[in-house]
Amino acid sequence: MEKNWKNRNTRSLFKVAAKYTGQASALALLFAGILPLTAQAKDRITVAVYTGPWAVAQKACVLDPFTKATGIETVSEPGTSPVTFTKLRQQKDNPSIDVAWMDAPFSASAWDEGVVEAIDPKAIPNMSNLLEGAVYRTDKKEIYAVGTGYLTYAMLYNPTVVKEPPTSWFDIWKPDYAGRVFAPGPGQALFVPFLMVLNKALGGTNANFEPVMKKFKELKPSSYYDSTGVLQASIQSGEVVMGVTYPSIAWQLADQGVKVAIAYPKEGLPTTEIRLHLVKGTKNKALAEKFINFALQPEPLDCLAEKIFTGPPLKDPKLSEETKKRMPWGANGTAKDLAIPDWREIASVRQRVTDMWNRQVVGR
Amino acid sequence: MSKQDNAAPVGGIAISDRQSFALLGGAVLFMLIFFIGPLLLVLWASFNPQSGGHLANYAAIASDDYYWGVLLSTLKLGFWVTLLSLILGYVIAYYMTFHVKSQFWSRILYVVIVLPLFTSSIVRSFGWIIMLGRNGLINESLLFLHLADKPQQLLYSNGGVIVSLTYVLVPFMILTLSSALQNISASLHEAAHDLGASNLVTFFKVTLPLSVPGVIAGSLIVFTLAISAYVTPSVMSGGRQMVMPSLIYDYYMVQFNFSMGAALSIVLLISTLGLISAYMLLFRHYAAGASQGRVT
Repeated sequence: MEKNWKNRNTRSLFKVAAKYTGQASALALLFAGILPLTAQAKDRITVAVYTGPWAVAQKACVLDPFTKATGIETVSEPGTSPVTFTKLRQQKDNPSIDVAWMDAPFSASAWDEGVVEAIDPKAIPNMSNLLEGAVYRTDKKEIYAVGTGYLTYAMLYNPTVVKEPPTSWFDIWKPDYAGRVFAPGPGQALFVPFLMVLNKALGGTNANFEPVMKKFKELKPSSYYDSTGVLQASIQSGEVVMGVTYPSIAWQLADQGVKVAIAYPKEGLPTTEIRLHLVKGTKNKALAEKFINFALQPEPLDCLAEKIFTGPPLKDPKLSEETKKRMPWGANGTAKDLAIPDWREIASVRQRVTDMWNRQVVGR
Repeated sequence: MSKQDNAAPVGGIAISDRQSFALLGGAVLFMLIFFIGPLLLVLWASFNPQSGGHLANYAAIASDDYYWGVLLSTLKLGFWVTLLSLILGYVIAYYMTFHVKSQFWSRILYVVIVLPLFTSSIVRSFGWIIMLGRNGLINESLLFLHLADKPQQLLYSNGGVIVSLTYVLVPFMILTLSSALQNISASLHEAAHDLGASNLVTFFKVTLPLSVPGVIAGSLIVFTLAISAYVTPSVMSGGRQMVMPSLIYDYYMVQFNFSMGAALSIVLLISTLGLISAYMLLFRHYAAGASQGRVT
């Protein structure tokens, strides 16, 4: 009797479960159909931004003021440049991102892969605020990206341990600092340009990277960082005392009271830019163009410079005295002093250099 | 054929085909879309290399010692992390099961063990940066105890990766072993003691053999998680050690060679499946031998 009761109850439980599973599936399908419609009812664009403090600055300086000024909502899609580039490749036929920020090394590749669209200068009148060098054109004069800030590598050091400020990139090989220096790993945008600068100084060419690989095999590093977050933790904890990174890291740490200083080595500064792209196939092209146009005003670009120390690619930047000293071109320079590398050439050697690095340097 | 014949028995109860389809359908669909689908896409990508024929990636991997070296380092890392987790996990699980009598303290211990799983492995790895650093707790202790005359480089080393990955994965071992140990009846221990067995003999003759299913399950979970871990090795190695997940990431995200990344993923998957099968066969052989031994 009890068994029958149990069986009846369990059977009805299965029936109810099956019924609800069916109903839940139907509801899910219904919502899946309705939600995109309701989402489209409001003006909204998705912007691929960077991560960490960079994303915070992009939101505060560009995304939020844009929404305030236009009423168009923005959705941040955080990711490093390679992650964003990979997303765009995967979403090629049906992108969910409308505008994408990516570093220079991925910009030309994104155009070659057909994931970004030509920007119409008539739709972006604020493009005239930019330096000519910050508007990126193909051989056919199509604009595939616009610059929103320059960045260089410099030598960061702890002045309490490194008494003599470094003057050369090769100072990280000094035996006094063995095991306490750092350099960028392959995940960093300026990894290949940095190796190119060193390789050239060692007599190598872009066809022969052996000199720089041989030199790195002799280095006794603490780490080759891929994440600047991990690097910041190492600097703060005193694990490392000297190495190669963005000056913005030093300024952010200095503002938190960490003892760090910056030196600009004599061999030249590898430089990159953070660039804005219009995603090919975006369903919100007019809104995306509005966003790019908004971002190219002096206020957002100067705001980025104040917060993350990117050099604004403006003809007439208006910066505070303190920020001027922290620009990639130094206190008295201008954007024209920067040596912008040939990113197409860098893209052509990236695979080879990374493979050599992994085989010859990692694990030594 | 009657309706009853068509019905599938579930736990002694018959439900109709339609009901079982409705119940199973969602789960099967989920697995197909989110597990089998991506896996097939990776497999397909691996046979479409940037250059050469369909098998070019696999030929390159097979003929290049570098890839085998990275695979071996990855498996070695998995072995050490599993071994350390097993030793630490067994001691903790044993203590929790047989020595903690109070239910309150038992619950507190479970919470303490599970708690780290609520934070991301990135955060936990950052904790180890502080612990293993030159000015960290471990180096300070070594200097204080005069076991070292200067701070040692513990961070960004192979040892650092093993220690931090063990810390991340040991809760999985403890939870699996605990449930296996809890299934061992206390009367078996009492019987062993009544027959004159010491604690040590009881452990080796009774507890350990009966906890083997937990050891197998825990080891498999920890080993597979260790060899597929990306975040902890990448943070804790400081870019100085290469393991398969880092190499796969590199091919996907740095070199944009999705096809080679996919081929390496498949090689790692097949190697892992092979090793796990061998491991399970070995234990089945051991279990069969043990049971035969008891009979005779």
